Amino acid sequence: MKKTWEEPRILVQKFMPNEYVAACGESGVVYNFECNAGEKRKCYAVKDAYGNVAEISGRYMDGVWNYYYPCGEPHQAESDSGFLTGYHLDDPSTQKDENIKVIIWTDHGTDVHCTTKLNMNEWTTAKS
Amino acid sequence: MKDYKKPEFHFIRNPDELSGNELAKLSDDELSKYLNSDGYQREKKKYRITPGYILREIAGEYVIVPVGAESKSPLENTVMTPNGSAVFIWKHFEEPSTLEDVVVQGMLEYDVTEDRMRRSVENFVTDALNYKILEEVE
Repeated sequence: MKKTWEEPRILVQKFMPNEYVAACGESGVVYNFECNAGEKRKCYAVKDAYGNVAEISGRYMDGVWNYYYPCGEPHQAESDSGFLTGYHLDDPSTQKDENIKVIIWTDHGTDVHCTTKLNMNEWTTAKS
Repeated sequence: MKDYKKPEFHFIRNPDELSGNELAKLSDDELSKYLNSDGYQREKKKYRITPGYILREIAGEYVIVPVGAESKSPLENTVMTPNGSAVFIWKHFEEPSTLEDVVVQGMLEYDVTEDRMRRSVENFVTDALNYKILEEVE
């Protein structure tokens, strides 16, 4: 019996701590950030506004070697813990660019979480 | 005396989708032109995992350790965790292989369409070349 094929993926983990990523958002606020952009069980590339693969938290997010998938977990994200705007998700297993616009939370430049709620003012807060 | 070369056999995708009968009917000049076409030369390329990357199986899980990654390479000081499909492709490129070699083997072992398998292998090769994990060989 033949095996089931899945998209080849390689998760790259750095030994060294990554550099801090610049922050935006209201100072001193803790946002409830839900990592839910994209479809569950799908792996995405992260691209910049020009459609180029982006390097986020020290990872070249091409969707094959490093990828984003929605963990679906709520996170308490401090306003200065590394938010990035101007990026979008793309499923590398399809020909077209899905262009799912997102705000990325990097958790101090260590991870990649994404939401499609692009207006931070509408986010609920845990503490301010 | 001639130099001995280890015999190698590779699959090469027919870029113009000519049938075997059509290829057989080509004149020498036409066949020569076909074999020197950009499309055929591209399909003929062989790739191999760059020396310095080791795939190891530990307790049923695979890891790739870059033991000789270039300084300032994004893969310096990393450990890579491939999924089963990536391990399959990686193992086939441990020996010089064409893209089609891997596609054909994949079709034999996996329940997958040719298009999907080819796209997966092409994506892998493109990214691995960018990272200099894969190199083109003669």
